Amino acid sequence: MAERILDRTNDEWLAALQGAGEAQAPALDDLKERLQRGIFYYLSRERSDLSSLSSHELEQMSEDMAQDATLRVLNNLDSFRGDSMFTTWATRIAVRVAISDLRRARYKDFSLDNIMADGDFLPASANPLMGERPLSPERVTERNEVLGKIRAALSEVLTDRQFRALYAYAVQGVSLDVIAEELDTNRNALYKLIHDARQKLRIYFENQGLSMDYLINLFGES
Amino acid sequence: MDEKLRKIIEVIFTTHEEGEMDCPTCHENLHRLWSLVENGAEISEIVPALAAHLACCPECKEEYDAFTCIMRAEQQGLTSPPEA
Repeated sequence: MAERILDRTNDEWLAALQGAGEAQAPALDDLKERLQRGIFYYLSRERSDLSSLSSHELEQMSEDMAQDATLRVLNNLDSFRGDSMFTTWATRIAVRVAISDLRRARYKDFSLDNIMADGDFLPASANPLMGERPLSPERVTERNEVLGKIRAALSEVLTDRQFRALYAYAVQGVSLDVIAEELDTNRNALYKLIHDARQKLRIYFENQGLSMDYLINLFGES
Repeated sequence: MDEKLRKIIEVIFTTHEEGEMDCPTCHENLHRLWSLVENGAEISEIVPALAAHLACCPECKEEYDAFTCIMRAEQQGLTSPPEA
């Protein structure tokens, strides 16, 4: 049985992982075990959304993620530039694999088709009876005018694709990875799409004289 | 305040300017920066563009937090296997 080597230099990791079966197998095992321990620590200590899972279930989950991450590392060895410890680089890849898996599981039933038309999610009108004390008629009118401007901005400034992506991301909190799959694009292109939408809306609002402080104050007061 | 309205307002006004870092660049820099971060360097001082990206991209922030969590745990021996 090959000897286990837990600490390797970068060159030793690369040589072993790029080597033939006898040298590669123990390095793969060591890498997977190391990544699995890190992922398990993260899942069990930092993810309150997984607190209902048993330790055994978290172990299984981290083992599956570490397996995928190890393969991802193996397939991307050529892109390692030696600008960090090899295991630090591998951990970065494992984190992406683990978090992407968690996001896909969380939003497995998500569909962009279920997002309503532009602006429909906004309150129909300012409710004068909401809050601790009734709003003045002038304030209700002001709120309704601004709601109309926001509704107009969402429908006129954004494309349908931008609106749905922005709504899913900002209001529903859906992961970029998941939305990107739905839109048949990649995460970076989607980030750019949403970034452009945010900037267009910000410019539109600023041109209308609507600042964040003003809006928060207008709709936040009771 | 209506929760959906608040989220839309916040996401619009917290976006950063054109030319800042994108998601892949942010992700690809994490391992390179670790040796500085583990010695106490502030991301906002050594790579302001990355800090700006993290401030307005919750996905990259989640990955950054997970990465630093695991690396710190390894550093402190919290992920080490039990001694035989």
